Amino acid sequence: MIDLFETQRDMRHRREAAVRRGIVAVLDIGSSKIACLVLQFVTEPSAESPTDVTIPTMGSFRVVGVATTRSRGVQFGEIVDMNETERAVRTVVQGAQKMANTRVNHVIVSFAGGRPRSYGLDGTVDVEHGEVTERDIGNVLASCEVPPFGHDRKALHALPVNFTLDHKSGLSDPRGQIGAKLSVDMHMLTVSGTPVENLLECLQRCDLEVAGLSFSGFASGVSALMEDEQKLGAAVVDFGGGSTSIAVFIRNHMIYGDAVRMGGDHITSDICQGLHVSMDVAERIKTLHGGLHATSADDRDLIEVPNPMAQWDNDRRTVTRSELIGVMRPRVEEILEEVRARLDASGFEHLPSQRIVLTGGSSQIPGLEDMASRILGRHTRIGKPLRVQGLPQAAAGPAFSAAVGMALHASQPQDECWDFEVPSDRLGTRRIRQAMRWFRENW
Amino acid sequence: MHALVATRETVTAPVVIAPHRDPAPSKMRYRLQRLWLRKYVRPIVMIWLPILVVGLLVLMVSRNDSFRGFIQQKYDNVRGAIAARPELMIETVRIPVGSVDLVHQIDGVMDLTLPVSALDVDLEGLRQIVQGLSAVKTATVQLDGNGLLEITIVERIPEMVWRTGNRIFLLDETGIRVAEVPRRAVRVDLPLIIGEGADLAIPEARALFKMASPLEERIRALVRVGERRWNIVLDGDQTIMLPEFGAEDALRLVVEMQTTEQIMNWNLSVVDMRDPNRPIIRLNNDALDELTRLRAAALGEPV
Repeated sequence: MIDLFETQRDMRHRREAAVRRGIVAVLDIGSSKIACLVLQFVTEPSAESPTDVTIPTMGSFRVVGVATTRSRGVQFGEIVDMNETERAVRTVVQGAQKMANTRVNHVIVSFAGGRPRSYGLDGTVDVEHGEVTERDIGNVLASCEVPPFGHDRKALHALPVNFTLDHKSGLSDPRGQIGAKLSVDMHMLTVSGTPVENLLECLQRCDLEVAGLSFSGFASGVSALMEDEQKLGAAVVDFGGGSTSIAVFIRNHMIYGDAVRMGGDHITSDICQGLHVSMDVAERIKTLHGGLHATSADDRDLIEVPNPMAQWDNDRRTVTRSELIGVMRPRVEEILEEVRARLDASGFEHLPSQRIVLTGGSSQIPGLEDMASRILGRHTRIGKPLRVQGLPQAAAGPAFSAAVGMALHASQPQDECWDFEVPSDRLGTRRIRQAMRWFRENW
Repeated sequence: MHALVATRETVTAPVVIAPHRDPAPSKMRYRLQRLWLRKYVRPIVMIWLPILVVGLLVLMVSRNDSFRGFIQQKYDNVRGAIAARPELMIETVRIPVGSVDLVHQIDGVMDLTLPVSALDVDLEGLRQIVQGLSAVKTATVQLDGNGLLEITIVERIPEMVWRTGNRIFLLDETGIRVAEVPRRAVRVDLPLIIGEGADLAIPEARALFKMASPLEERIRALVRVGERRWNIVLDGDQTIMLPEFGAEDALRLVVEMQTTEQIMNWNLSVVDMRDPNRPIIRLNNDALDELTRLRAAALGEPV
């Protein structure tokens, strides 16, 4: 358990250092696009705070650079062609740096692939001195029994969701309270190790230091869910290009995360096969004319399909919009069915409030809202990311909710398991390493 | 026979559709840009490096004699070419005022071989030279556009003749030598002063001359004694000795005595006013004898 969290702990320290220095980049590596936001944190909150600006802001940061590029070499949120992905990351980082006119050293990365799996952990420990201290929390977190999730998997998140102190449950921060027995419920999200290794290797090749790694569903939830939704219980469904991430939130914590390995790219490839067009054309038709609910008007709505094999100008081909809808609909239904199965498995129906928020690039398909409410059986809405200062309009759509969510998460990080001191009898060489790191960062 | 259908090469090159690659910066370019965005790199490259290079170049050139010589030669060539232009040539020198003597003197001292380029003439130096002449009070040197160099001078006007040792000079009102003359007779119209240091007390001498105007025809010269006081020498070998301080008052006394008592017509050789409170006259010998005789006669004694 201690070695497991070492990299995460390092990342957390790096992120804190970067936020203190003021410049952090957020990198959303998706299957269809790679986005990079450069955040500038205000080191002195009172230094620049114009009182006449009334834009609601979360955290004291500002987006100073934005760049997006078409993703390549990424499938299902995992890297399949390292060189191509590296090129894409270079493009996007360079563009964002150029806009921000600063150099970026630290990036926080969101990650959608790797077959995430959620575990509920709990641990119980006796409080040492009657009053709960940070040391007790470290003890109780260390006492959690970790299930055997496999050697090749890594813990991406380990969030202490709920503390119980002598039968009093629902505590988010029990420090300073009097009690005898402290127990914790922890949510741990693991992913396959190899995709993560690949991702880290790719970023290292781009001379970037990873200052954080988070699950894209979690990031989307942070930005796309309203505060009360996060508190009372909601699920966010991030319709990406290659995979669809699901995250369930309650009491401001993610309690479940999963991903369906299907997304908008599959819809595109369906169109590509169904209408016999190239991938680019299919993508274009999907975004311009796509839909999920056919009406009688759609039978008459002819979409011209360019035919690359055409020899003459009058050799044209058209399809009706209902045909296109007929191709797209089964795939979206399939994805939503799968999402429903995952949500059922998570015990989502036991939550007090059961809002479902759809976000991500593919959530912009017209008619998705209706279809999702029908299949998932609950009221759904399309979620756009929270407005943050400096974000251009072009990057404020649902496709950027994971990137914005990570920016918010960087400014107001949630406590994770590795933020607490581990009891000293399990420490080993960590103190020395900490001292070494302190020297490296400060000299 | 011609074929009715024109034949032409119909085989077209096979269209190779290169796999579309998205643009991306090369690794080198990416690294360079990141380097460029570092905090201190830009000022170093944009400011300090050029300064260093220019400084090194200047140092190199200044240390290299042959290169410097080359630059000097080039500069001289260009300068010569410009100086040789007819617009800059000085054809004539004009001195509108001034005596003939002085003009000759200036011509001699100027040392210009006409025509000469205006670039090669040091006008300020020329002015200094002309002004350095004793007869010139101020001089202005002006270049006219049409090859004309005009030297306007203000002459010094001689006020006195000064004899010291065996030499005779003309002095202006401030005591500066205007010219040397061979004889006193050349300028009989000017008063004569004699003695070492007399040129340093010209204002006093002028005042004295003015004061002594009733005696004007009889004054031969003003003699500076011991570089501190004046003697007025009259014809008939008479001398008025004046004090160091208050010479004018003393002289006024003498002039008054002259007007009331015609003192200078007496048979005396010296009127000693060195102590203004106690004027002394020194009679000539025959006058003294006569005085003695008259006194004796008055007493009834035999002579």
